[in-house]
Amino acid sequence: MASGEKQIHVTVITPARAVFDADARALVAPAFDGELGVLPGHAAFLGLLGTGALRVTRADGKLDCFAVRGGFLQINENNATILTQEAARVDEMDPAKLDAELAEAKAQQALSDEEVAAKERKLAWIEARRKALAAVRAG
Amino acid sequence: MANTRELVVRRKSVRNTRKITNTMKMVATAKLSKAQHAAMAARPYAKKLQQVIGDLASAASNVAHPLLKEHAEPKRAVVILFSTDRGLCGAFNANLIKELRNLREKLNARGMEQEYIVQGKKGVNACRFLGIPVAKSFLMVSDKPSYTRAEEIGNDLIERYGKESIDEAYIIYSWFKSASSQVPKVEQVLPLSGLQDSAPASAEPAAAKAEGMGYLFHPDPQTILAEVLPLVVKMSIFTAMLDSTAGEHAARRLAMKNATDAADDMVKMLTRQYNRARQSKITQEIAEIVGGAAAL
Repeated sequence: MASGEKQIHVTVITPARAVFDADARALVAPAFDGELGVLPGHAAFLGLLGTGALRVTRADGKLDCFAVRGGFLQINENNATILTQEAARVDEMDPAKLDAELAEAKAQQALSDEEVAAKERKLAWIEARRKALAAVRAG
Repeated sequence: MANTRELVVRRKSVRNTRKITNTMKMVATAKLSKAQHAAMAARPYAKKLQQVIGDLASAASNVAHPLLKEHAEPKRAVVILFSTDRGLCGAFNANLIKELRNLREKLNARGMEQEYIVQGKKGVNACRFLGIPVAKSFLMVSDKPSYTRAEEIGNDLIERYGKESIDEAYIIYSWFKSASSQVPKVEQVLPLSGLQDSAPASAEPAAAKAEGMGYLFHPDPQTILAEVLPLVVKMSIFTAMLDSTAGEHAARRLAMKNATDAADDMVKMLTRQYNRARQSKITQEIAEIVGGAAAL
């Protein structure tokens, strides 16, 4: 904390790997019922996340975006931990591929309730990644 | 004295075998480091998950969830075995099968119906040999653990547990203790009994309780718990997959190292025999020539 500015330590963990681990000035997490902004010094918190874009403003002002699929946000003593089943980094995404995936998912027929739910989950995950991508592009 | 030509042929064949085992050892070493890395990368998630549950348990006054509740009359159990597709990895699969037989005896004694889900060809073959019907098998995937597959298996188990069509679920896998030690393990994944034990333990110390009370929950702890518990089941399955993969490569590396060392010893021994045979043959020839010359 050389600048004297307050920071919060953010880690993003999935079952397969630790995706992100750095100090941040702020983060906006996709809670299950809307977006949730967190600044350094937040009270201890445990909340459910939905599928959406996670935006982290690093200590140097750089913006990092991820798409996350469900999980939790835990804040404890200025440490924010995001546990999620899947996290995709923006630099690992291919916009053209995402568009193709979206078209394919939309075209897929869903008849039973289960199929509809599966399709919705798939669409939400694609949408989350597109959002993360758009957020990075917007700066 | 053995024929020298015979010895040369044998030595050559041992050398060829050594080349193969040595290559397999190197391949296993390379794969092991990758698999080990993957297994270690999953540990923080599992640890954090436990911590979140501890926090939730100390905050929620009564922990109740269908996945925690034991069914009144358990009749049907699912057993998932994580074996390998390829052999030449020492006693790795044999140890797992031993656990499987023990568990089977226990379940039989309780009069439980059993359903077996097996990953890996070696496990499927062993089950066929033992006359155990396999309900579902995953082949040629033992060195490619994927969370998606773990999720599928987990979701299926949870759904059936919720409908009470199964009453218990077990996984048999090899715990990756270290590169030189893999411990076969049986773990009960449903009902999640271990958590109830850990919940009061973490709630007991006043400090831990106060810490848990300090959390803001969004939504309420019960709802969050309902979301976390299925994750625990899926994570147990995923961890079993990762550990099995890492364990397989570690076991194979060790088996191949032993085989290579044994081949080295054998080549050495055969070379000595060959040299001795060659020497005595030359000695004999000289003796014959000298004897012949003396007779003239």
